[in-house]
Amino acid sequence: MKSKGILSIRRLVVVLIALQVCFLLLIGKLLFLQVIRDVSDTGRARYSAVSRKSTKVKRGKILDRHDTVLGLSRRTLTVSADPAYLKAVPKDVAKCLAPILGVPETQLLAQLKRKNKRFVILKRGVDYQMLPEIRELKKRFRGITYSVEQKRAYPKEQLASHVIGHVNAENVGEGIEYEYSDVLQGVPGGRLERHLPYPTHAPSDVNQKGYVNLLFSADESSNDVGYNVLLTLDEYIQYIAEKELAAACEKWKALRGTVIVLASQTGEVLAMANYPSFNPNAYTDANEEAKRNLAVWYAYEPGSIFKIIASSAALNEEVMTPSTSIFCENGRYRLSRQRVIKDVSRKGWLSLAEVLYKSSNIGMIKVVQEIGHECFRAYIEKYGFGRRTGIDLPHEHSGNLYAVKRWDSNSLGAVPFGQGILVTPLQMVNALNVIATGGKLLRPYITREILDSHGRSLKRMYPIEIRRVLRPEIARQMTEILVGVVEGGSGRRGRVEGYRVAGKTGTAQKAEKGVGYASGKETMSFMGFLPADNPQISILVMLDEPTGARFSGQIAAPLFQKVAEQTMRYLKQTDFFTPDLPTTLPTVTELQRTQPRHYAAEGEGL
Amino acid sequence: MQSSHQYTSRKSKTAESPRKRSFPYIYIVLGLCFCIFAGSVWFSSYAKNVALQRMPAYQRQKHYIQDEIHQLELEEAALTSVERIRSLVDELGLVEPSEAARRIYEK
Repeated sequence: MKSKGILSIRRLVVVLIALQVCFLLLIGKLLFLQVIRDVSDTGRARYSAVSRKSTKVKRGKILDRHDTVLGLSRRTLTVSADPAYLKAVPKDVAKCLAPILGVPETQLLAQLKRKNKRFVILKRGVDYQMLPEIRELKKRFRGITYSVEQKRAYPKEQLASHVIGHVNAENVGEGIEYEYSDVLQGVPGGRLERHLPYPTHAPSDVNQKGYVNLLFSADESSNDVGYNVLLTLDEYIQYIAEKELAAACEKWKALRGTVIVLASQTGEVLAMANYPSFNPNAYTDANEEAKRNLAVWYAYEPGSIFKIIASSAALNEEVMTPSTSIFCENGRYRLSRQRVIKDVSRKGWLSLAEVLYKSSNIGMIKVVQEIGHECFRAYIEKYGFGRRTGIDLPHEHSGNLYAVKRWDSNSLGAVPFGQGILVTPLQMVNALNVIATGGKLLRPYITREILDSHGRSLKRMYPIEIRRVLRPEIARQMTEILVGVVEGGSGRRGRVEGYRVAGKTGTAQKAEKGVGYASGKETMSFMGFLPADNPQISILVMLDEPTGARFSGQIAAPLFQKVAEQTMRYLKQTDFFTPDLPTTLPTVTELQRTQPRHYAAEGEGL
Repeated sequence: MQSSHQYTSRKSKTAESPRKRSFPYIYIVLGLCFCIFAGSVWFSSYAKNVALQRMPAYQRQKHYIQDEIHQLELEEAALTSVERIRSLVDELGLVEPSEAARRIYEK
C-alpha cells in the first residue's frame, strides 16, 4: 500500500512540474504581450481599437480627381455649463471664459446665473485648438463641461455643391455625402459593397459575389478617420461649367439649367453643374429649389436632341442611308383629324442627313413610320431611356416612356422629335455618348476611387460597357451627320475653333397642366462631342424657360461653345488624357453578374 | 527465503521515508508558481491601467494634430481654388499665354 502511495506522489510531482512549465510559458507570453509589445506602436493601436467604440469616427474627405479637397470634417467643441452645480462665483467664471470662447462676459454671466437650469450651452463651434485651455478651466471650475463634435467644411463653397450634397444627423440627404455616407464614416466591409457595383477590369479583383475585393484589414477598420472618396470631377472643368452656366442663365433669365461634361471614352463625369446653386457651408439657409441636382433628378421633354435616336435606328437597321430622300410635306403634315404637325419652315424633299441639319419634325415622323414603332421603342430602350443610368448618385430619375409604351397617333406626333416622353439630362448625354464611343452604351460614373486615411487605394472604378447599340460604321455615319448640324445646320453657334464638333440642338415646348403645350415656355438644349474624329468629351447644356430668343441654337449652342472651347484648351494644356485607364472594358456577362441586389430588386438598371 | 527477502526490502524503505517527507519542495514550487502568477496578474492589470490612463491623452494629441492638418488642408484648398486664382489674375491684369507664346516657352 505504501509503495503505491509513493508512486502516486511521484506521478503528482511530474504532473505538477508539467503544469508549472505550462504556467511559465503562459507567464512568458503574458510578459511578452504586456511588457515587450505594449510599448510598441502595435500595443497602442490595440488600445485605440478598444477605445474607438467611445470615439466618434471622423468623416472622410471628398476629393476631386486631382486630390483637391472638396469637403472635409473638422472637430469643434461645444462648451456648456451646469449653473446649479457651479460652486465658483459666476462672475469669475465668465471673466475666465470670455477671452477663450470669444463671447462677451455679460452674455456668459447671464447664462451662468440661471441657477434653475441644469444645462446651458455657452458656445458651439469652438475651435478644437482651444481644447487645452478649456480642459484647464473644466478642472478649475466644477460645472463647466465640453463635448467634441464634427463640422463639415467645404473650402470651394458653391463648387460642385449639388454633387457633394449633404447628410443630416438622421443620415438622410443627397449627393456623395449621402450615397457614400457609410464609406465616409469608415464602415468597413459588406455595406461598402452595396454602394460600389463597379467591378475592375481585372478578374482577379472580383470576388465570388462579383464585387471587388475591398482589401479591408483589421488595422484599417480600426482607424478613427473614415475613408476618402475621390471623384471623377475636375475642379477646373467644373468651375468653367458652373461659371458659364450661371452667366448664361442670368443673361437669358432662365429658371434653371444644367451642364454635364463626360469623358467620352470612359463615361466619367468631369463636370456636373446646376443653376441655381447654393453654398453647402450654409446648407440650411439655401433655397430648397437650389439644392436639387437637375442633371439626375430633373426629367424633361428633350425636344429635337432626341432625333438622333430614330435616325440612328433607321441607319442601323439598314432601312435608310444618310442620303435617303424623305418628303417633308412642305412644313404641314396632318396625322389625324385633330393632329397637325408643323415644321418651323416649309421643307420639301430632304435627305435623312438634311432632316437632322434642318431639324424637321415631319421628316422625323416619316423616319419612325418607316422603321416601325416597335423597332423605335426597342432603340429607345437600348439607348437606356426609361431606366436609371446607374450613376452612383442618389435620387436618380428613371424618366418616363408612357407615350412609347402606349403607342398611338399622338405618340407618333410627339415622340420622334422628343415630346411626350421624359428623360434626364444625364440619360440624354449618355445616349449621345453612344455615337462618340462608336456605338457602345457606357455606364456613367462619378466616383473614381475609395482611399483609406493614409491615401492607399482600396477600390478603383473602371468604365463599364452596358451594351452595343450601334455598329461602329453607323456611329461614324451619325457623327458625320451631327458634324453637318454644327457646320451648316441649326447648331452653327456651337462651333469650336480648331475642332470638328458633332452636335444637335433641341427646343422643346413645355407642357402645363390643363393648358397643354404653352407658347413661350421652352426647354432649350444643345449636346455635342468633340473632336468628332477622336471624341474626348461629350457635353450637354440645358436651360429651362430662357427668354429673349426662340431657338436653342441662339441660347444653348453658344453656352456649349464656351464650355467646350475652354475645356478643350485645358485638356490640351494639361495632357489630360494620358492613358491610365484600361483599353478593354468588362463584358456584358460580367456586368450582369455584378449587378447589385438593390437594382435587381427594383427592376432597374440594365 | 522469499518471505525474508520481502521483509528486508520493506524495512529498508520504511527507514528512508522520513527524510523525503521532510523536504516538501512541491509546495515551494506551487507557492512560487502562485506568486509568479499573482505577480503577473497584478503587473498586467497595472500595465493596462497605465495604458488606458494614457490613451485619452494620446488620442487628444492625435486629434489635435489631425485637426491642425485638416485646417491647413482647408486653407490650401481655399487658396488654390480656381475662382480665387482667376480673381487674382483679373486683379493683377494677367492674361493667359497665347498658343504662340506657349510654344516659344516650351521650346
